[in-house]
Amino acid sequence: MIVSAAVVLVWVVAAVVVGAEVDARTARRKAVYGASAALVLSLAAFPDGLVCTAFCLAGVLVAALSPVASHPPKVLARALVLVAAACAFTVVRSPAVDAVLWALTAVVALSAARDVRLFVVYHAPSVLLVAAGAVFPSAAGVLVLLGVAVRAAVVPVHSWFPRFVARTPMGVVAAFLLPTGLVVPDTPLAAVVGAVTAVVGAVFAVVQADGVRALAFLLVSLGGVVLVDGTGPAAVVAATGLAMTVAALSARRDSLSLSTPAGDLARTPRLAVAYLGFGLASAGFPLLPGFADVHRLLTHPAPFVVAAVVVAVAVNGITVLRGFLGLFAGHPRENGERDLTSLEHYAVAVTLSLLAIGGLAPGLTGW
Amino acid sequence: MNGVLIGAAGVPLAAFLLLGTVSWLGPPSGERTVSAVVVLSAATSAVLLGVTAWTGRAEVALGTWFAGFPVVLVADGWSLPTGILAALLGALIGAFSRRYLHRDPGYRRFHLLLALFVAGVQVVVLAGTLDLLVVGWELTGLASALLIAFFHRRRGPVAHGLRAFVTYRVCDVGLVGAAVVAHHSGPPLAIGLLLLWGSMGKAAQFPVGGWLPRAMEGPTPSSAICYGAISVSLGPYLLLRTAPTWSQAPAMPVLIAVVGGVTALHATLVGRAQTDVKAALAFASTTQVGLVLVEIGLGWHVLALVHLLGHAALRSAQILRSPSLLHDHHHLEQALGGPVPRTGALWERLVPRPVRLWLYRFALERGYLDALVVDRVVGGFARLVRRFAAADERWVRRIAEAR
Repeated sequence: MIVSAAVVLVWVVAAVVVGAEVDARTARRKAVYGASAALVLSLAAFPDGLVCTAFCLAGVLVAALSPVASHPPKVLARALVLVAAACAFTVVRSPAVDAVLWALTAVVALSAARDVRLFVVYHAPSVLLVAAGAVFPSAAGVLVLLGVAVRAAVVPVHSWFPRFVARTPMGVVAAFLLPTGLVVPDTPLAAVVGAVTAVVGAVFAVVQADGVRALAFLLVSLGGVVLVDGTGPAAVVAATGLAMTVAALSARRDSLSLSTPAGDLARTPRLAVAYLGFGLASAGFPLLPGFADVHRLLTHPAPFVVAAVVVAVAVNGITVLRGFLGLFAGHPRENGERDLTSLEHYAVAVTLSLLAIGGLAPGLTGW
Repeated sequence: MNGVLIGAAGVPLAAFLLLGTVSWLGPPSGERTVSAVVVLSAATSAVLLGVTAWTGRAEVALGTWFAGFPVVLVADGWSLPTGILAALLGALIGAFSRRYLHRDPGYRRFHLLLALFVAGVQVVVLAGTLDLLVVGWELTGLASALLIAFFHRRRGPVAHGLRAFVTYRVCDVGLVGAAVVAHHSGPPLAIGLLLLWGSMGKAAQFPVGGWLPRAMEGPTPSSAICYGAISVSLGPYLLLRTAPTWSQAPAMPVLIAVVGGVTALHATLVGRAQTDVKAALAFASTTQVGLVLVEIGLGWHVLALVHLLGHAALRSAQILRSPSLLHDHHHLEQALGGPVPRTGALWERLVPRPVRLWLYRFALERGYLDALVVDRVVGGFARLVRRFAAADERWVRRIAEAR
């Protein structure tokens, strides 16, 4: 607990330092230093503080892969504050603290969002519902679930999410989504709602013609799985990695259309492998840590939930490979695109190797 | 004994991990080194399985991978011949590709994927539980799809790789479902139906076999091992391996034989109208695998295994030889001293002309299957979902941009 509190402090300090910076590149470099320090510090609580470590690892990805063009220092600082808040969720587990942090993260995300009205229409009720859940413990299961459902973009209150992903700096989006699973009440209703969302999100994702919208619905589907299962550390890291890889890619291209290919996996092999690795890890592919999570879900007592998870995982795999081939193959000429920069490479290499080790030997890393 | 079996499954996997790590980190390694690693790993796997075959049947429980996932490897009369053949073919294809893909920009990627494919096949073949089998099944599926899309700058191979992966993934639902139902000790008929559905994708059975002729756009060596020989054989292998479970349901053998029979009829008819040799060979593969399913349905399991392995060896040789088809044909004509006599005159006498024309049209269109499955079923569903997504987007825009 003390370690987690110290980690939160490191993140807040990093956010303040980054926010005071003028040059975006220096800010990003400092953000990566701060994130790495927080990650190393969080390892002191291993393996109990696994969720906090996973948030820190996701934070390293957020800091390193946020494109400087769309993440000026003020925006990057907000993303770091959101990671700090996510870690703060793990320090003290109580409904009141959750409600306060829930409101705080919503306000920080609002300050970075471009569609303010849309965000308020959906998230003001969400914050009020989670707060009401803290005030009335007897009805907390339903109230908090409704509040969380909005942020987890559960169908049918998902409509804000694809636009939010497309028009908000991705670092903020990824950091905003981190703690959702910690607040989910462990009720059968949550599992059913999550299962429906997992399937519907997966089906919507697989038919999208745009890489960012496909990512958004894929995150909806993964959020559904989180509602069933709670926060899986590996799932959080993989989903963040996928989102940030797409962000890094969209900074290099005009559009991420899947129907008009523009990429070349032979020119940007590391970027392509990062997309495929993070994507397959979040789709529960074997030898990657998501597989153990999915395998555990298959023992869920409700047959409907199991069937939904099996279908959703299969369709998500298709979405990932479709995205991979659409974004990195099919383009006949060289496009002069740049592979991962050294900062990006550092974050992706650390995360992917940890994911691979966690997938091969789940006992070693605890996820 | 434990070490030998673990090695048979683990050495190709280790080769994949080694090549993957090296090519991520360092400067590109030499072609000879890459090729040597892949060929040696596959050959080692074959030798280790041969050693196991020498000492006899073995079942090794290796504890649990993670909670609720026991790892059991089985070496018996089904897995040993299949595993040895798969590993030998893997080594052969690795050695063949050293020249075939010499100086190809994707040389390392090809060998990396080949190592992954062999590793996945060995896991499938040696798996003693359905859960472990799923692991190898997914790895082979991914490796196959990426090998089909190997020439990634052309649209065709990329689309066909995706199509193969979609088919695999949709059918994997059956395999995973079978594992789940088996864990809850559900009815054998349900398990059997799910297993049959799971095996149909890989085995390219009617009506989900449209990916196989398209898969031939990958490099020839990978076509030989994946789609001529090993990958399509995994479907029947799965049914042979799980026969004790599904044979408790009396309807299952009939169903398997019907699926195999319909596939064999359809594929042999369609294959006769193909104009390129690799597509013709693909349909020939489908025909034979369909016949193997008929044999499995009739209960002739040993014959099915012999047929499967013999077919795998012959077909991969044919596909490896297919780039030299015209050359071989010239040789044949020179040896015969004239044109090669045409076959099929008997059918021209037996079948009336209008029926023949209709059948020809039917075969050219590949039995109208693509129109039905891809355009109607999958396309219709995708259009429906897109319509919902578009309505959703309009609604959000209205809220976001209202004044």
